[in-house]
Amino acid sequence: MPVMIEIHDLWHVYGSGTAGEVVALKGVNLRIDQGEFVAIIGSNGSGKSTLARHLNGLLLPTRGWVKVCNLDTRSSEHLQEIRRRVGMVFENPDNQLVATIVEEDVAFGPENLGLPPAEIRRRVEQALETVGMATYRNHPPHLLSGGQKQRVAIAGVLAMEPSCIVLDEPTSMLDPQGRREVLRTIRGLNESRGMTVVYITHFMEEAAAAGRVLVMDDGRIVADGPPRRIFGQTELLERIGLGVPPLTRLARRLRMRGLPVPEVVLDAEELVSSLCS
Amino acid sequence: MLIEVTELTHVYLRGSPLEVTALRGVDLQVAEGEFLGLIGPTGSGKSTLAQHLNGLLRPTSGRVVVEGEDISAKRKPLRSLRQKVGLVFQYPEHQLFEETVYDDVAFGPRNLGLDEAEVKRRVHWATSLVGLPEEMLSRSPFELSGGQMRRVAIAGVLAMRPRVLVLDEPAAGLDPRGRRDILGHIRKMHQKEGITVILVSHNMEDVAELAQRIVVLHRGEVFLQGPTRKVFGQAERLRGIGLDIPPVTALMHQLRHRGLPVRADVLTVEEAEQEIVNHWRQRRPC
Ligand SMILES: Nc1ncnc2c1ncn2[C@@H]1O[C@H](COP(=O)(O)OP(=O)(O)OP(=O)(O)O)[C@@H](O)[C@H]1O
Ligand SMILES: Nc1ncnc2c1ncn2[C@@H]1O[C@H](COP(=O)(O)OP(=O)(O)OP(=O)(O)O)[C@@H](O)[C@H]1O
Ligand SMILES: [Mg+2]
Ligand SMILES: [Mg+2]
Repeated sequence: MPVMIEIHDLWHVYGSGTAGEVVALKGVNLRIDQGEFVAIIGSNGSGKSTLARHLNGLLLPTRGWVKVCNLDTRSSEHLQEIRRRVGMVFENPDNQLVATIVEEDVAFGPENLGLPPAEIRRRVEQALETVGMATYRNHPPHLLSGGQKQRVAIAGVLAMEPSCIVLDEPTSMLDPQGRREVLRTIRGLNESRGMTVVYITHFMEEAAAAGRVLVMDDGRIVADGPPRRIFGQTELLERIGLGVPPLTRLARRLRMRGLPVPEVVLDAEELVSSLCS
Repeated sequence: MLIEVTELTHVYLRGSPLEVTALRGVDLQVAEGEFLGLIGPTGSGKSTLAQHLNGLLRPTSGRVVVEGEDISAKRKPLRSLRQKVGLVFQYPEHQLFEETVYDDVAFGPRNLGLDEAEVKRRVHWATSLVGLPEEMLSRSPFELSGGQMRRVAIAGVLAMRPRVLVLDEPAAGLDPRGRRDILGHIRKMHQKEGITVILVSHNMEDVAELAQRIVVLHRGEVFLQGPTRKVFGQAERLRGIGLDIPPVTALMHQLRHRGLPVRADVLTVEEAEQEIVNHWRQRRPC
């Protein structure tokens, strides 16, 4: 698979040289191939959002480098191309919603890509349908509920049809069905169009559904592997303030009490079939 | 009753083409010392209702009475109400405004007219309770990570030591340990000091673990209410409006479906463990 993102010895320092200097990334090395679905987990302040903002050149390395499709984010002439390829859904939708009505907001990205008006309309319509916000197309985004804003922010990035999508806690304010739908949509784009996905989350069960999980701690990647391997490392996860999905935890406890349950269970189906086989 | 909401209707942008009726004739009673879960799908009116409870929003019609005071009727400032009812906003950025974390958390206590020594004690108590390290107090609240901001916003409300806490998605953005610790502290304050808590959340697991009673909003109306176990016993009705039951409860339903006659009304991992082990010991595998 061709490389989508390559990061070499990335350091990021906020407020460099001031009293409040914060070293947020401490030598991150990472390669993500096209078509991967990568989840990033890590405690508050571990550097996830900082890393995400490097993936489309919103932040630039204090040291080291980041390449997207072989384009180095440090060259300003690459930035436009990089942002066309990497769409980003921010942690707080207020930082993302720019226009005065929903429809214009979702159209903002595609317009910047210079697409023909008919194509823009098609994409906006489809993206709003996908997130269930079509009836709000004429509403001002800042007057929406928390979850409605988050849905519109996701629509804005979907409408750009980027080759890589970076989502920073996209479901934190969604109801259970909304969470499932967003995840299903993203997984669908990953599977059908080979869209690369980088998915930051505090929900361990969402990370368990990814192809690969990165664990961050204090500005570094401390574990990297398939979910089954990562969620088998309970001690590491607990030491750094994380944990395992609820059903994984239940399965471990049942196993400790002598029930014939595998060591690492990732979803309900696995647990049910081990108990009812 | 500590809080009595009667036929509360709230209309946003009244008279404009975008008029939205966010709450429609809502009745709600909250007893002193209760821990109430408020759930509902996206846009169902939870935040709108939460903001009525400390007077940030005024009813379009209907009444909101807190400790016998009809706050819908009043035109005067609602200072005493805001001291009694602490509201943590859904997005912490909407709540932070001072230059340092310390000043932000100190804002409420200072407004209560406390002396600086007491303010300082409260700031240290509240920030350590939410897991913010000492060295973060001198930083700007706007240069923090999302979860760190959330912690500052929660600390700012706790530092006022309100008798009623209204928490609008307080755990969104917190890491798993932060979520467990902070919600655990709030549960302790509820149990030991008898504070009343209203928890708005999309996290069915948290609500199942903490709330004694649940009110479900749907399209601005009360759709369902009752003791936590009863409400989460109605999986189909909840799923029908975009909500769900906690993952362990859903698991128990699946086990029953496959022939293992476990109780389905469990709410936590610990209860599920006990129930499954009991059945296993009786050697009645499916
Ligand atoms: N604008 C900023 N200025 C200064 N420091 C910052 C800024 N943004 C973040 N930081 C600091 O950098 C570190 C990493 O923050 P980052 O936002 O990347 O964490 P995160 O892993 O996304 O956390 P969370 O789970 O809370 O969202 C934290 O210590 C944070 O305080
Ligand atoms: N300031 C506002 N102006 C106009 N309409 C608003 C405003 N705030 C909310 N609304 C609308 O009122 C309805 C209820 O919104 P509210 O924020 O109370 O929902 P919620 O249950 O908190 O949703 P969420 O789970 O997404 O946070 C929604 O349809 C929303 O679009
Ligand atoms: Mg973050
Ligand atoms: Mg809300």
